[in-house]
Amino acid sequence: MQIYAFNLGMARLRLPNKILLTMKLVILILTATLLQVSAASFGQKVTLNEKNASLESIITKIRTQTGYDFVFDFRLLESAGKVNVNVKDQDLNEVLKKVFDQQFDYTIKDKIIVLNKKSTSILDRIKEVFANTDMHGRVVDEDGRPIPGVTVREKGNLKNTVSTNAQGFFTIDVPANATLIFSYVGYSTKEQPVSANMVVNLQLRENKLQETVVVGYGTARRKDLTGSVSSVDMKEVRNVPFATIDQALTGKAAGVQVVQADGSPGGVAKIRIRGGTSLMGGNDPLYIIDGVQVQVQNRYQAGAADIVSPVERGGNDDPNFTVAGSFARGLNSLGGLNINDIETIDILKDASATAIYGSRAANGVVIITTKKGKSNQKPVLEANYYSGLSMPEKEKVLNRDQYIAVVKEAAKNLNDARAAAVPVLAPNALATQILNDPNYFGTANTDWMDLVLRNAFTYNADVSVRGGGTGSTYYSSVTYNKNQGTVIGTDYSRVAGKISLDNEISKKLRFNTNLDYGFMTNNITNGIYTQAMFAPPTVEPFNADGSVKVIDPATLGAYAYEGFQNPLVLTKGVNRSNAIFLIGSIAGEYDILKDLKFRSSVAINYNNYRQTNYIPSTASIATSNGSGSSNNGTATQSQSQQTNTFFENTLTYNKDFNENNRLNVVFGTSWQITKSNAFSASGQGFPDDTYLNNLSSAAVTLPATGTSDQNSLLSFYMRAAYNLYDKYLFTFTGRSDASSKFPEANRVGYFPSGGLGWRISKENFLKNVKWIDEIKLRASAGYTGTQNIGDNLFYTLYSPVSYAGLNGLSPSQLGNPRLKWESTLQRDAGIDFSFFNGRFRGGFGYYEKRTKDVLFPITVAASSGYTGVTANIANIRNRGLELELSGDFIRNKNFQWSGTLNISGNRSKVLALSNDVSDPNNPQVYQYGNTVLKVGEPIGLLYGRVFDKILSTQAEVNAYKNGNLLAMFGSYPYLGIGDASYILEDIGGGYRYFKDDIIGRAEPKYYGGYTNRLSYKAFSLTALATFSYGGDIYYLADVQNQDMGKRTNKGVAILGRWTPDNPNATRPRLIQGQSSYAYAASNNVYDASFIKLKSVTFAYQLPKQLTDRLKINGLSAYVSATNLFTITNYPGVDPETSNDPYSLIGGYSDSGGYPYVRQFSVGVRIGL
Amino acid sequence: MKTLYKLLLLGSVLTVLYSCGKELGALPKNAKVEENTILDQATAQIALNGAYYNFANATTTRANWQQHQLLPATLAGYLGYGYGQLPQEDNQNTSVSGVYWEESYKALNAANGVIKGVNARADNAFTANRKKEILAEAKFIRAYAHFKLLSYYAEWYKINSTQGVLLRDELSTLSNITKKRSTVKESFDFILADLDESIANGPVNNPSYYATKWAAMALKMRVLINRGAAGDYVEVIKLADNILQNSPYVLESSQQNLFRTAALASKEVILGIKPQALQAADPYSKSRQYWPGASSLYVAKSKLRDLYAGDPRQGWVIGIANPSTSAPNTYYFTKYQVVGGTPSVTSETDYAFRLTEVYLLKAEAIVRAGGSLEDAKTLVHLIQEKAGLTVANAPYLAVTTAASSAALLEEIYKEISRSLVAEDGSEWMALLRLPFETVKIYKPSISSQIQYILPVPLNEFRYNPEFGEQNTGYAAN
Repeated sequence: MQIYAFNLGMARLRLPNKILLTMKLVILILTATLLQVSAASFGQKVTLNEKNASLESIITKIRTQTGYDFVFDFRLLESAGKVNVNVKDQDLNEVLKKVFDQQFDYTIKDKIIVLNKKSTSILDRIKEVFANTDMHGRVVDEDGRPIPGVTVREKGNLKNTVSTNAQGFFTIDVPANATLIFSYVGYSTKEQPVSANMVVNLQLRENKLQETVVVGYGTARRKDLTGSVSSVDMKEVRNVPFATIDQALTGKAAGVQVVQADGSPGGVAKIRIRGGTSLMGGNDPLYIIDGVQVQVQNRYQAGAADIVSPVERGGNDDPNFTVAGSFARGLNSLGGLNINDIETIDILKDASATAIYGSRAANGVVIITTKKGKSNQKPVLEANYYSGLSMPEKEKVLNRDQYIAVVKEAAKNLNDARAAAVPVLAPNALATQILNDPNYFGTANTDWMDLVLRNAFTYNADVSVRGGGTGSTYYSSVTYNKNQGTVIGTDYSRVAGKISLDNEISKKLRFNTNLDYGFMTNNITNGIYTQAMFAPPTVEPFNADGSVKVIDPATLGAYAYEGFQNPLVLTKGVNRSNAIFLIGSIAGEYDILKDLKFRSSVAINYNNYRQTNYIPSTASIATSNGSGSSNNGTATQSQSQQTNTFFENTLTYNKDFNENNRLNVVFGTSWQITKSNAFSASGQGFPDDTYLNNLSSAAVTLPATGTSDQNSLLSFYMRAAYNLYDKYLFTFTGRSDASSKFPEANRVGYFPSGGLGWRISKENFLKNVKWIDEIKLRASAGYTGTQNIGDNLFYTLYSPVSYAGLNGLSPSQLGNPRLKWESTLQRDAGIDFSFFNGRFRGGFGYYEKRTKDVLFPITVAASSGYTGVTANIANIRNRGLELELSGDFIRNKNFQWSGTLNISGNRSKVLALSNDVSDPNNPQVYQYGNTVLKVGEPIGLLYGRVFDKILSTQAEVNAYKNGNLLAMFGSYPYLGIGDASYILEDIGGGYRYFKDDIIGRAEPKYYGGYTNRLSYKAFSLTALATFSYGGDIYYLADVQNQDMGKRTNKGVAILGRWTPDNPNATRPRLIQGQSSYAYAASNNVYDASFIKLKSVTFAYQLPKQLTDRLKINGLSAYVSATNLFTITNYPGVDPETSNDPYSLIGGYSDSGGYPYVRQFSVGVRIGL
Repeated sequence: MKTLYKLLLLGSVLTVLYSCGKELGALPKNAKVEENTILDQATAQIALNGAYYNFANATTTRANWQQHQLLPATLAGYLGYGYGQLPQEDNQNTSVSGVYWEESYKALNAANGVIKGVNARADNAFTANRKKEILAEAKFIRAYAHFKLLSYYAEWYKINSTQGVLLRDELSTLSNITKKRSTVKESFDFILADLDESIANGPVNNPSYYATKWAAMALKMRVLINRGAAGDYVEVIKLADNILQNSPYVLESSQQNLFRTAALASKEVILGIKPQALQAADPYSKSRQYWPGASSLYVAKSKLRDLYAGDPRQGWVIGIANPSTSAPNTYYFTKYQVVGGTPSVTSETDYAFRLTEVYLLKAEAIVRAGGSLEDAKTLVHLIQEKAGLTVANAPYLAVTTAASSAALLEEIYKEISRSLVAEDGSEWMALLRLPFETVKIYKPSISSQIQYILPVPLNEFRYNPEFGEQNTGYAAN
């Protein structure tokens, strides 16, 4: 009976052989081919003469001679002994008895012979029969939906097989202590002991083609996609101690470039998906967190004072930027999201996927979906704890002896040069003192790096509970995370989590509520580390009375404006942010028809940000004329708040007309209002740095600021996806956005896209190629936009001013009534494939993004009373190739090895920039600090002086001096052999001056990552390596390592300076108080190529027998490390850094603001 | 019922669309747009104050009026740079072409905004004459800015020249920026029309940092004496008499007192620039550029020191020698800031019109109109006495003994220089009103009338292709 049921079930399911083979339990069916042998069942004659034959060969022979099929567990054969048999024309029954009787039970029914393990004894069997009961149960998927057609078998008695009905229910007659095996196509097979009314959750198997991905306003199966969507496997990142989710994207998807700005705890990662498209606006992707749009932004509010960065002073970026820059790199607007709550991350890259987000999608879309409860699941509590240790990777600076040697060499070179001068100059008094006074350097031996850096600890604990009944499901979690920074005084802590409750009111009506929350506190550096690079090791950090010693810049031969100070002066500074992050939504879903669903939701994305800055009394602060006193302490407190409200309505029509025609249509509207306001107040002059530095203690109240703003967006969107014959895929999306940021005439932007997919592997000519699972060709094109720009650029504005102590309104902005959307036409072509039963998978893609009408400031005639206006003037193009390959190299029961590689290359090009076309002399170069934009060139050009060579002969010295403006005005009194020379250009009047030019290209040629996964039984080892090849980086700290113009401490690179014994050096000789360098120049630009072992995780999952005995759901322990090593030629600490992660134009310098961090952690994860 | 549902649905859809449309068109919250800046008298007053802010070339921290003091005095040879020598000291003007261009157009654009906004409001939105007064004040600012442009970027000394001012009488928009420069005659006419309205409707009383009808008259005197057309000098005299007889202004008994203590409180100041609240503390404040020298230092040249020979003003206008070896024979210029002083509201105050100028321009107009030299001398002497001179002082004597109108005009030029040097360009314009041959004697580095004015900034030709010709003698690219 059971065999019959089994066979019937199989027939009904129409399982292809391929699928059957993938089943854990292998059933071998030897199909009869000799249908003509159809005589009576008994009386079949068999002839066999075998010695030491395998059971398998015997079975084959019997089948050939009789036409009877055999059904048995393949594993039975493994345990079977060899067979000796010699029969001639014997009855089948006799033969079977001879062959099998000692090892197996067998039954014959309808020409099918079923083999089973031999029962122990008759008595036992009778007992079993009496113990058998009808067990009922239900099989559901991860979302609690019933799965019909699941094969349910009794373990150890595989003949006993049933399948689930349309509601997922099954009934099976098994002993009370039996274990059932559940298997279904596309799902992982599961074993579970029987219990009354058992509910079995089957999980989708990792079949990349079958997996669902979240796309805009819905989900789709990966095989049905026409767009380019990458997914991040949360299992690979959940055990790595990433504080924020943006870091977890590193190296995980092709076309997604992630650069960690610096080592700040919880700091910002710069993310560019297929290159940037906006010059004035942000270039981070749009994040959709649980359906709510989140735009990354820098929330820092300028304080009343900042601190000069001696590193940035070496280049052309704003040097008065220490605190602002630290906030830009350290304050993460995605920090409120708990990584452990995240279920899926899907990255939409091409227009077919992103166009449904229209005007915000040009930089790609990252959809993050968090976990939910499951229906009919008893509560599951999961807890995770890890603690870690972070170690700083710091700049290598001179120690006391090296420093003294360098200073002395410079002093000697100065006096030698003075003696050699014509007429001879008297020795420099200071140089003589340095050389001769044994007490000049004192006795201090200070390791400043040691004083300001530490090994820091990280703690993280999170707890989640999820579950659900038939009508309601819930998930709630809370996490506490504390990350100490490796720079003293810095840390990041967070309490975050979520609450979601889904209710099924009726069969047709559901309500979902969700709240993701986060409370974050960040203590951000004010440049202590930067200062520690330059403080001389011969200076005592403290005075005799224990107070922090103030280093007078003059004692270093430096000017106050250059901003050098004792790093410990800054320790009493406060730079704290407290942020609240709330994403809440309530949605109702109603099934109007079986295939037509209506969903309406209200969502809020709320941010509250409070910032406290205090610059202590003895610190030197940046002022408009360099550096100055903080006037007994300068404090700023500011607050800002932003509320984004979304009203969304969608209609989804999902219809499978028949197996050859499937249609999915989404139509929706969205109404969104963003309101923000901010204020800040500052004061100066405090009685005390530690206690009385609240604003009310300030002697002087500084001007306060207050702003408020709003913008709104009304959108209509739709997507239609049609699947024909499961082969031809069509997707059309469109969105119209009306934004308050544009004048009425140009308010509405239209963003259509279309995508085609062809699953060529389904065509007849490939269908039967066994090793091909899937080959899909896809192509798409469409428009997306950006609107991450100021709110009121099209208005002519009057801003409040004050004159004569009274209010005034003064024209402050020339309106551009022709302002319109930046629009990106993106074209995409790709191929996705899966071969050898999913063992080798991958995709290859090409894209071209042409962004036109990019907003850029243009000049207007000054006679208008304005200097410029924002206009849609620039054009940018990005194009690139992406390759993603995955392989399961070893798929053993106990040992698995797989790997995923992605590699991408993006080529950007600025196609147009300005209105200044009438001027033939305009080089179309726009300088922004250390970078330039140039028409015809890629984004990320580094700009500065061009190092020529070290002068090696007197003739070269004379040639360099000739007409050199600086030399003629006395800047190089001792210019000689061993000094640096730079390319000069004629500036008229017979003078030559430094020529500025493009000296580096920050855009990497290729970048990507490789994830390697190894698992052996309960152990797993996951490693991620990332790489970038071909980009340049400006190493700003290196600028100071080239000369002894100042007696600040230097990096060890200065030891490679020119000396007569080292004539091939690339660094100039040292001469006290003199420098031949030209600020940031081409010799400070380095290749930023690297290969980095980004993360390694080793995890152990306690075996099921043990966890069952402990009555817990699961227990695992893991050890993880990040940034273990980097292979690079970059002489600085880490080439993967950005001094301004928000900018597209800039941000390609290593400004030495925070050390690179290596982290180790140990954690445990438990499920109850 | 179904119809009711349909109507309700339609109604709610329309409501949503309407409210969405309203939000999409919502005006900015943190700034005013053209349409809602001027709504009534109070907001008109605020916008007018914004125009004064631009008139003062102010930023949040300070009024940037110093170039009104420096450039004319430098071109005339009285002031120079304390750490070297600037090309304009030798009347090489290319490098200073931008000095007044931007600030003048910003001021007149702000004034145009006020004029447009106020005109758009009904008369009854204002009390009494306030609407006309606000318009008059705005037109004063517009006239002042246009006249500054005329004086420095147009051939004002050739009435028939085509090289006049690019006149702007409406708020700038992207579409009206490109425009051609007017002729000199059109420029004079436009400025005088604005001034006539200012004089007719301007307020009689106003704080000394806001314009009055008297300020408009004083400005008209400057305009007319420079134009020098038939009847202009007589009109100058008439305007002067009107001010002297009817206005509330009185000469300060001590000029030193005016600059050292009284400042804008002085009864003599017709229009001044009030420093911003934090101006004295600004590290780049004006006073710090006279003493001790911040990033820049502006000093008196020996020509100015010599001009005060035998004049008690030398004692307080000229300070100790500038120690910088890069600028020999220069002295601290202490009219605003004493040596050793710290910046204060007084030292940061600037002056556009003082009653002294009215006297001296009247004297010059009398001479130029062929009137009595003695009458003119009396006026000059009056000013000199207020400066502490007596008959025994050489400058006083020189005026007394000037026998011809030409000689007296030269003495008046010198007195204008002594009284008004480094205030708002009177010394430079007075020099240029002398015959070209005389100008060359007083300022030998001037060899051509081209040097009377500056070139139009090059960007103007690039971004306003309709502008027209560059000033003769200068390159347009």
